[in-house]
Amino acid sequence: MHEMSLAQNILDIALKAASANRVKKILRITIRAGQLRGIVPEQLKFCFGFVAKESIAEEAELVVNSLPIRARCGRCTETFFVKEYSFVCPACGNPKVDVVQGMELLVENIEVEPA
Amino acid sequence: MTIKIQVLNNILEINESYAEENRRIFRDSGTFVINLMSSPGSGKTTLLEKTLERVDPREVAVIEGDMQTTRDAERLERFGVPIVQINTGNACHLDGKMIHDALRDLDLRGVRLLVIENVGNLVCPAEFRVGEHAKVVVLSVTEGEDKPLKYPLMFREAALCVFNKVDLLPHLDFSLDEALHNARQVNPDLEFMSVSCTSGEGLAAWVDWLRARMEPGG
Repeated sequence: MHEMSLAQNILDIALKAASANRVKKILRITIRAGQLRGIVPEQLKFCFGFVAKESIAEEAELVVNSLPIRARCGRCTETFFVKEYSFVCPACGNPKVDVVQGMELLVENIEVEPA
Repeated sequence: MTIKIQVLNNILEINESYAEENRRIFRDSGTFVINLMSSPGSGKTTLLEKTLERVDPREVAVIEGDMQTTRDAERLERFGVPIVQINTGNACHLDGKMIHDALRDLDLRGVRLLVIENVGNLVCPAEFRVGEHAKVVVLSVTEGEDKPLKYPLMFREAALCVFNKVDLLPHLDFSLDEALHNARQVNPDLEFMSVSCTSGEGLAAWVDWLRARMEPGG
């Protein structure tokens, strides 16, 4: 499952950020995940717990901030929350919309105990 | 005492950089690349066989992705096209690095079309760009009209949806109109075509679609 490879990537990013600072322990890692990515937070946390064993992130809490899907209408410029994956403007019915939120997948920050 | 360190790193950054590097390789060789995706058993490999019967195999290369076996590559061997088979083991999708590594074994000089046949899976392959110019999703008419709604990312990412096995329509309670409506709801820009690898219906139009996007031959 790709939550495992995402977890590994998250760990790599967190460890790299920690190594650029003097860090004894990583306490919390905050992720921003847009809902269009289909990430299952509980699975991600489970996988992270597995890959982080024996690293300075092994007790880190993984916080997943899930962002709802938002789109902007190309015609009337209304910005709206996309419900049930219907990418049609609720104001004017135009089907040509741009996704402005929902595809994010990044490590926002890490909280650490300094060395 | 705790310190917060801002990171703001894209979790898929490494994959994105491999995909960009692959794209550069394809640009240098003048190769049009499709990432062919579907559920298992929708007919990707058969569609590829029918394609190779209709284009000059000297201008085509294939990268095959499966968790296990080399069966798909073996089916295509008779066409004499360069093929690299990737066995992912337990990975359910191909990613940028796998394609980058496969390209080391592929000479793309003179190759105008590269087909990357992804692992049969409507979920994960859509998440991972590999440097392709277009994602093509194959949906066979035995799979149900609701699939675009159930797998929105796949149908949003695709440039073309190929409805396959349309020769079976008289035996099925499948509404092509409803499937189109559902897919358009998720992706209004999605192009569509209907084919049957069994009867040959629609295959000429499919090959025309590919040819229109391949660079002019030398």
